[in-house]
Amino acid sequence: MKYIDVVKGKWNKNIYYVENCIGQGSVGYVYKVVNKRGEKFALKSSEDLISLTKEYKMLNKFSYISAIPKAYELDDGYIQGKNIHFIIMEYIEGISLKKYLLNNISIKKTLSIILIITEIFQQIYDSGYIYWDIKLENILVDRINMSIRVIDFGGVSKIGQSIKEYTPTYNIHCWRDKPYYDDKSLIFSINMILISLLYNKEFNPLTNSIQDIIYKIKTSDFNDGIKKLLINGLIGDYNIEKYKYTVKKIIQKNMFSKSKYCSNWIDALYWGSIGMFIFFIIFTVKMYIFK
Amino acid sequence: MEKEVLFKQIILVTDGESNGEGDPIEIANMISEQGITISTIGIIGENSSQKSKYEVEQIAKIGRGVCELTELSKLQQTMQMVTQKSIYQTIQTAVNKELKSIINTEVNDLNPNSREKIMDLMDNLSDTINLKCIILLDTSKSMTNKINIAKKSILSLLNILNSREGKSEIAVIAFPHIERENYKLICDFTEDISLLKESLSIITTSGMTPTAEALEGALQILDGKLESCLVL
Repeated sequence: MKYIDVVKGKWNKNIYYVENCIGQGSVGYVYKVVNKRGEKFALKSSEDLISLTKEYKMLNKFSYISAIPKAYELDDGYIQGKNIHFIIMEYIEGISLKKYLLNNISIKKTLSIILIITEIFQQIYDSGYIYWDIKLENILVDRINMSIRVIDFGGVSKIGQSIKEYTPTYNIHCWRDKPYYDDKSLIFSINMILISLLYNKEFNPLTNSIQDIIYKIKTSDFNDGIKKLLINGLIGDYNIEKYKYTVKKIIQKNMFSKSKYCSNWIDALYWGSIGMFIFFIIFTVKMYIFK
Repeated sequence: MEKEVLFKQIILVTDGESNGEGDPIEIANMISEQGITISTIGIIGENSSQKSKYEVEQIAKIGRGVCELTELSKLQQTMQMVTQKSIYQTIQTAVNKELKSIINTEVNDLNPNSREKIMDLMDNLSDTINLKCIILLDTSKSMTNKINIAKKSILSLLNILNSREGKSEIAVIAFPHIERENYKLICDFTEDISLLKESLSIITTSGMTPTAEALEGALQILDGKLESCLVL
């Protein structure tokens, strides 16, 4: 196996062989590496010491959440010609939700994923922190272990502290003028993930407004319950509990698409009456003809 | 009277080379000596020249700030990232200076366990210091198709900055200005997003790119604002 580089930690003296670059973020790069025993890890490198140290701290703080990759060490080193700092993390075999934009997963499965994601971020929120950088690329589906993993902990801040990393499409402050520094903005981001998955498209706040998205939702083919959920999520109406409750209700009642003929009892009554009326006409006509 | 810790920053947003009369690099030097950080954002496209890229890189270097070249669609994030990075960078430089004079070492030379508490301190500092940020916005003719995105980016920048614990104020200077002036203060320092929105709505584009003169204007405006402040 040909490696593109070798990294030796300055303090822990561990050696890692770099296979390839698997990602790039605003703070640095992520590589797939192996150690001397051939075990696979992800190495996240950055020149930004403050950000990376904070991320390592967050990964350790929330290590009890199974969705989060394990972090093993923080060290300094030299890679691809630069002096950097790096974190060694668990390597996750999975594909990000971004790839799912091209597949068609069922509405039920999509909503279930949303529920799982909400519960993960709720655990973080309940500890007094907010995960600000929610986006499709940061949520992985680990197909081997059949689980959802959340990566990139550079954007986690204490509630009440500044937003450090975010993505415009999923951040409420790029769509609305009011400040939201609590769980309502978390739900906005999760709801936007749901919208991206259902409509197979990521909306850009520079070229669209919330009204554009609301219009698209209203004129689409989904069940009214889903539409209401999406719109209220956009307006910043839900806290975590209310959102979870509404999503669960939709899954339980199997309210996934607009039924063509009979979506509720009013329709049943309507069609029933028409049916009875027609039957009455035919009956009366028959009586006349066969008198 | 209480002294506040204040971070003064100029962010120059431009899509091309300066073609006014002065030398922006010379002015940048002057500004940097006053303790003000200059960061630059170059909006690049297919026609961007090497010279214009070099110019923004140099201005940021002399201004002890951060330079980012970005495509228009990423302008929003770039503005926030540049602000965040330059705050971190300035704090790190100040802390390193102190460490060097006390224990003859820099943060990078300490092992990760020893430096953990210092990192925490730097992160907290970056959140609590007060920030006065002037956005020097290029409104020359070439910015015509980019100006709406630039306006939206500035608005969401204030929203995001307001999540900080410290006070965050943004002022906007547009250059050039339509009435033959080299620049104009569109909006004075504010935390109020509706005021910023209203002020930005009057911006139009036309004319050349007098970067040096605009930088000078920014310095004058910043200078007049700050007595009794500890400058970072």
